[in-house]
Amino acid sequence: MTKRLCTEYVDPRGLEAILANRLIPLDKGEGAVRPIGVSEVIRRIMGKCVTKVTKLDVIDASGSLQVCAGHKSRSEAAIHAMRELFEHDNSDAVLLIDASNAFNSLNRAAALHNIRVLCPSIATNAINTYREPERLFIVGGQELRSSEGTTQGDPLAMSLYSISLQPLIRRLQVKSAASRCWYVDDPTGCGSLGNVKTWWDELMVSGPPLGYFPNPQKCWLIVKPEKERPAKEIFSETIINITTEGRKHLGATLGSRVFFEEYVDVKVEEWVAQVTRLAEFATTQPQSSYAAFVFGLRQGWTYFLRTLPDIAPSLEPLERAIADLLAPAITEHATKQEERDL
Amino acid sequence: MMTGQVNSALQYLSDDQGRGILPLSDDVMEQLKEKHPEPQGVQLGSTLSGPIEDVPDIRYHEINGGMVRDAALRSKGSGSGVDANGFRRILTCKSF
Repeated sequence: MTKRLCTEYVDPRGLEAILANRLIPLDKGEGAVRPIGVSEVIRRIMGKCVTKVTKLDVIDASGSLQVCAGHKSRSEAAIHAMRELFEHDNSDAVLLIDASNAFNSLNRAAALHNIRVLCPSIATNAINTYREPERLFIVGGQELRSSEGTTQGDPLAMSLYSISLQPLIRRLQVKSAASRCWYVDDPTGCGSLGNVKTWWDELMVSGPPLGYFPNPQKCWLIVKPEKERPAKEIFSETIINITTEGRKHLGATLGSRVFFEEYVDVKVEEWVAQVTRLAEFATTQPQSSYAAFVFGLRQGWTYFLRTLPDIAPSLEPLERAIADLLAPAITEHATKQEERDL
Repeated sequence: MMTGQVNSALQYLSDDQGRGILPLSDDVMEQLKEKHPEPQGVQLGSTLSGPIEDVPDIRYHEINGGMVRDAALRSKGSGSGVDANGFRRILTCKSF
């Protein structure tokens, strides 16, 4: 069936059941809802097979500026690239974009047309699975239809989304000299204030026809301190937030060292609390706790160690918590440094 | 941890253990509707023109039983009816 969906157009009515999703309204806090879609397992299996066969085509079609489509160390690449660009003398500011309801708003009609030109190897499958609105069954007994955007739970969703924004990414490349990088629906533009403003203006014009709606209230312009005044003048007609301190960017930070250190301190505090709680579990469940430490906590920290530079001194409280609380709880005796090195 | 659900186990270590599923009230339903907009249709200037390459069917011949089996073994969770564990059993157990 997967082969058939990749090679010929089929009647969408025959696929209705397999494409239907469960929709779960998760609490996002402050009264907001985060819809989570759960697709049928068989659709996920089919999507994984198609992804495996077409992965190189998708990476090729997504270009070098959209790093979410199977590139190695994708978000890490975006973080390091933007940090280096912002620190460069020629850069005045970096603009972090937030889009409203990005995945569900993508213009599906335009996307299904453009994907035939940009990545024909997944086009037939995408058209078969997206040309009719999917049925979404909501926990509680009601039903909605997903007519726009990509479907959560579909392994091809990320590929389809990244390729569908290519026309926008290319247009911005032509119109503005700002350096930019996209990670899924989170683009970042960096350069002189004039170039960044041109980039923003074009994004506001060219984004909506493709179903990409930047939300200026949630966008942040990080500027170097000496550029704050001109930045406020240039962006006065927008409601973009402007700061000289810094902001969180794909799990890392962009901006001043003070902001960076505050962010790392908060993170380390959270991690110490987690290790302390894990040490309590470890007194009765040492094997499980050790596995949670190695395969859970430590893996999570690796991302930060690779994306936040020079944080070793800030990690001292975490080291103490591991040495003084967790290791003794797992091994049932106070561990020496030599034992830990082993 | 004993069932391999590392992320679920790690939630017990976090202060923010998730707020859970919302009951389906009118407000929730309204927000869900807002997040699933009506189709926009194609707008001027949003489509590309260019040659559309033909992809030979043979490209997809490597999708076979082995690949489906591997994909099933890497799947998690459930939609409705048979969950990922069920498919894993169906596709890997000789009883079927």
